[in-house]
Amino acid sequence: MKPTKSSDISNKMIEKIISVAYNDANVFERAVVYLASLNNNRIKSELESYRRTARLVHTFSEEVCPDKIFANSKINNLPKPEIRGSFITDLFSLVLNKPIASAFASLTVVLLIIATVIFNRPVERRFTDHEIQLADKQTKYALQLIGNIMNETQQTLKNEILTDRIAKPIHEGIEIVNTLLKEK
Amino acid sequence: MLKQERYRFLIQQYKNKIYSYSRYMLKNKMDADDVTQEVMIRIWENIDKFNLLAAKTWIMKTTNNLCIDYLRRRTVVFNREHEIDDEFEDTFSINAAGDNPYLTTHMNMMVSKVKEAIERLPENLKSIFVLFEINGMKYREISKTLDLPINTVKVYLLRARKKLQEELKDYEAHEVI
Repeated sequence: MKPTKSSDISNKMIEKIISVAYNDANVFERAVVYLASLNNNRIKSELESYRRTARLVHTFSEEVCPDKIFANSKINNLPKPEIRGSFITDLFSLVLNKPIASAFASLTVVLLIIATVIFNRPVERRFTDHEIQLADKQTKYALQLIGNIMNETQQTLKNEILTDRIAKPIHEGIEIVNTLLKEK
Repeated sequence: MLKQERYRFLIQQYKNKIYSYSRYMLKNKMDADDVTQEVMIRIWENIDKFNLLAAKTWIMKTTNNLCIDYLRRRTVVFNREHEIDDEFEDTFSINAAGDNPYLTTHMNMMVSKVKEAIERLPENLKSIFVLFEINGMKYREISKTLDLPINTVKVYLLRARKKLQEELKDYEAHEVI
């Protein structure tokens, strides 16, 4: 086995140190390395050394593709990427960059539609025979009441209103007119 | 119409990844430009053949294959590898050092050293290191891109980090970040 920089550190520990330095380690590994670094200066210095490199590496961003590439004759005829994305491009980005969020949003919309359809369906109530008979009785009673009221109204209209209030004054008026004509 | 939109989307999304990976792998701006253009052409030609969800691995695999072809072809006398371009170090966020000229210079030197060290890594380690650390790909994606088992990817990444540290060992003795 190739000797490591610090011969008193095992390869497994070096692997853990690297994982911790590059932020790949789980909580357990972190704890192991931190505890070990408290008692061992070589582990501590290794960890620091790897951390410095990791910090530098993590500051590197992707190289920016120069625009002049798109002006080259080889790809001049191909569609060029837009500076401001179109709706479809934005939609693609949203779905592909955040697939879980998009799937969740779609699922929520579908569930809402299903729930609306289910809860807004007309309720089919089934009535018992007793309830139907009772309703029938109540309907008949209500209709009877309405019939009685209509009959009474008809009688009142015929006997009191038409006779006393309309026919009688007209009759009197005509008699007066007749009397006046006879006198002349 | 949709084909064009798909293409535009893919280019918008992955052009920097393609270019960045090519730059690190080929250590040369002109070759990186060529590879990026070649990948763009292949994307256009094959746009109907792959799923958008699987596009990332397809594109990076194509980029990797083209880089390997370029590296194999590069046995010519003219060694362009030393033609390291000035812009290559510009993408680093100098703001990290604030306005302190000493720190800025020091950071620039460190960045330069680390980039050179990354470039010196063996191809198999470098490709995984760049895909993981610079392009931000996950183990599974790298595994699909390079046709390697996930465990191999993990082991190679570890080796790359170790190797990088060894490369920087001498320089590190004097540096303070």
